[in-house]
Amino acid sequence: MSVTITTRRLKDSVEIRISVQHVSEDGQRLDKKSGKAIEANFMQQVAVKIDNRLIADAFLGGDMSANPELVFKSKGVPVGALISADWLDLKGEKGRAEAHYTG
Amino acid sequence: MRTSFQRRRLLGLAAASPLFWLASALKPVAAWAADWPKSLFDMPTSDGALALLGAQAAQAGKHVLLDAPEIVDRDDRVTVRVYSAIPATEQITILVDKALRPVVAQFVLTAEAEPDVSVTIKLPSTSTVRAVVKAGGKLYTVTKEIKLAMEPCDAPAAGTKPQKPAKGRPA
Repeated sequence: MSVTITTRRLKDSVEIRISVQHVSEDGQRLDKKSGKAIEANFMQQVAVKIDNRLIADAFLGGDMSANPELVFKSKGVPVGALISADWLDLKGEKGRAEAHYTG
Repeated sequence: MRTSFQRRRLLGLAAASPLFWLASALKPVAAWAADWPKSLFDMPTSDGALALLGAQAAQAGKHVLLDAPEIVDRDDRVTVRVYSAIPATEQITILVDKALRPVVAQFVLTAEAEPDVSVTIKLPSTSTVRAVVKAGGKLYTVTKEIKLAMEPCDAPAAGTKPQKPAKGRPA
């Protein structure tokens, strides 16, 4: 499970793209060998921050694609700002990704 | 006297530490402003989820754009974008009616985030996709149907002949 943040300058705002590498199992798929359901595990929460100020919370369900991507936009991103994403999945694994907005 | 004092101190430490761990277990992630809304994400029907959101009688969101492809040939990665031009948009919820759990994503936005978000979802079949936008305490909704060009093999659409497998896929 890993999360990467990329930023892009738009006309009047900054795009914050959060790419999540995650299996995104909804608990419905069956294991072909054992025939048993594969345990559900998907990204549940992503908190997006600019210089450690929360700007958006994303709550996610099991019907996200595998390796989901989330896109946010903000007008208040100064050059050099630290953009971070705290994440948590269904199994309780959590982490933090960071990137600097370089303009 | 000294030994009993030390023992007490040790006891105190032992008592303090489980409390500390309990407190940290109760609040596993201090980073989030709110908890994952389990009842909403567990709701098996779109109507039920709309009721939970209080959006059954929501106005049609004339100033909300739900941008998604009309038709897709792959069901596993569809990008849905919701943009709201309503001032003070604070929450955007995306639902896929035909999904087993229709609520796919909910975004809680502060004034620093533009009300413009995208997310990649799975599409179970041709389905209505909804966005419910909360702005200034009021709810607005928009819907759009996304067609799946080829329905899953285990659930062929009624009256259609079986088709050749898609290019590049082993027969």
